[in-house]
Amino acid sequence: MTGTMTSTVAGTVAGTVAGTAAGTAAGTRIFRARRGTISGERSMPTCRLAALRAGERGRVVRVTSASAPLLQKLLAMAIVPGSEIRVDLAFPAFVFEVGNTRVAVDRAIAQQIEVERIGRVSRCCTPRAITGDPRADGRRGGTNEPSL
Amino acid sequence: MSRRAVAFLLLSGDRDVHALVRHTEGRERYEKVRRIVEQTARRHDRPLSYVIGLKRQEEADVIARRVTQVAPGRKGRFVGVLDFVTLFPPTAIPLLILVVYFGLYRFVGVFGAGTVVDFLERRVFAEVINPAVNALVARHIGSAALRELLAGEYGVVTLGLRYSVAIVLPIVGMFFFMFSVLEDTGYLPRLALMSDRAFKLIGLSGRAVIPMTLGFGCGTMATMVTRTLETRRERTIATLLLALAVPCSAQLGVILGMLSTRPQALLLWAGVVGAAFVLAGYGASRFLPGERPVFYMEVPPLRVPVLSNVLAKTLARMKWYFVEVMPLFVGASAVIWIGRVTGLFQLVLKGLEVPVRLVGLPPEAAFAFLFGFFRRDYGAAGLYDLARAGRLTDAQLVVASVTLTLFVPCVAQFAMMWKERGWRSALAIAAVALAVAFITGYALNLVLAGTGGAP
Repeated sequence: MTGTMTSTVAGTVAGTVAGTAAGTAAGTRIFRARRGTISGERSMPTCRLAALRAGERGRVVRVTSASAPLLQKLLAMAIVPGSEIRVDLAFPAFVFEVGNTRVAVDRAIAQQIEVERIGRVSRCCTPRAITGDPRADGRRGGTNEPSL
Repeated sequence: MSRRAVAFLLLSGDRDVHALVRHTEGRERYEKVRRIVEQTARRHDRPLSYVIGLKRQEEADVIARRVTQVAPGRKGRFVGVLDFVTLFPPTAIPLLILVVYFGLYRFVGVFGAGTVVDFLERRVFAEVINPAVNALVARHIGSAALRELLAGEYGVVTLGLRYSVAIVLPIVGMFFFMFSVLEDTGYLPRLALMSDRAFKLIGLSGRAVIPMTLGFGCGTMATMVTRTLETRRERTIATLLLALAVPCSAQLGVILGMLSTRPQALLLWAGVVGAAFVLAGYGASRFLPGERPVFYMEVPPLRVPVLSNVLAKTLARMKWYFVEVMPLFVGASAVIWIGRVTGLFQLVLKGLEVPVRLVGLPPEAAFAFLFGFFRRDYGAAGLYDLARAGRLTDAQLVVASVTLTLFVPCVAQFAMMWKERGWRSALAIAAVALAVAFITGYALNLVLAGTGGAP
């Protein structure tokens, strides 16, 4: 979860703003972001959330959307790099548990959430393993593990 | 505000703070700040506000982990089954239909719109309040015009108040109650996620299930609730569909009453209005500019509704209804008064007779259409009278019902459209509804005439 730190970004600006305002630098270390990346994101084989089936679990690696409002909303629902999720339902919408909340998103959003699978698919007949959308597989590109 | 907070807001791109800093620090220094923000943003491939949010979330997680303890979760068996039943499509969809049938149709439609409205309108208003007001006005007000403003057939009290209190209030009250129950159980998000795919076809997301269902109660209220939709585009599409093809409970009641003895006619009406709904939504989603809707929603666990919550929410909404919607109904009867006193209505009536004849209806039906705008159910009731007098064939009855349903919504809903969407959109939507109504009526009339009349 902790990324390496090369610069205290906010520190720079906070310091600068403070400096502009009154001449004191208030360096802050809230930020520890590696250049161009966000802590929690890493380079491991990943797939889209949309590729997971009901019953499967994964860890969010990255949210690829460029839309700031959508990113903020997913952030507010704690869908951030590092969060573990478990898919409850893949059709008609993607329903998954993240932390103590359960979230529903449509396919378009599920395509923009990169995850790494955790463990093997449990194919037992618990209510959790409800329908996987049969069309969910094979339609997307860029997944490293099309099926398990 | 601390400097640190200001710095964060600057980095997040808060416009107000940017303006404030430019104002207090001067242009030159602000430019420096702006450059730093830009340089910082360039070092990240995501918006800075998101980067900050993520870091904040991370810190919050650390703190939360330090101070909280998670007890092993216990999930009741019954709750687990219910959870499954409301999410698994093969059981969730029949359940959805049951909820709509019992919750909406039986409780709100039959009990609210039938029994309660009958009592309030026939007993309370028609027998007690209206005669009293009429008598009072007759005794104390000399001017005939003023008398008509307050009382009589279209008076502010006898029509506006009666309509909003005796007809719409019980319906929306019941509806709010049912809605609050569903809301409190945590079922609504499940309803939304089940219907998301269907709504995507007409340019809306699953969230639209709420205003659309409300529309069968009161279109005016539903138009206001479109506020909860994410984008302007969705709000416009939802407003259009509510105006065009979602009959409100008042209208639905009369149309069902009129066509219920003719099942084929009823089916035809439902089919045509349903098709208009889907086609208009599909068309609007194709032609309106803007992004496609996205759907995301938190799905809360199912809970047993708490009566005090339900009542508090119902009351708060009814209060809102009184403040926001009732004035529109009262205003509508004032507009009727002006129209009648100035003779404007006679003119509009003459104008309406042209399209009415075009769709193959007797010119008297124009009256039903005009008054239908002021009271959606009154329009249908006007047709009902025509039908009973033997002035309409079955085919004409279907054509009239379809045209009236698609026709411009009631004046209160129009006012709400104006208020929520602005005058341009409101007028455009009304024009579309008017055109679609008469074009559909015209086509339907041709088809029915071609196939030999009665359906």
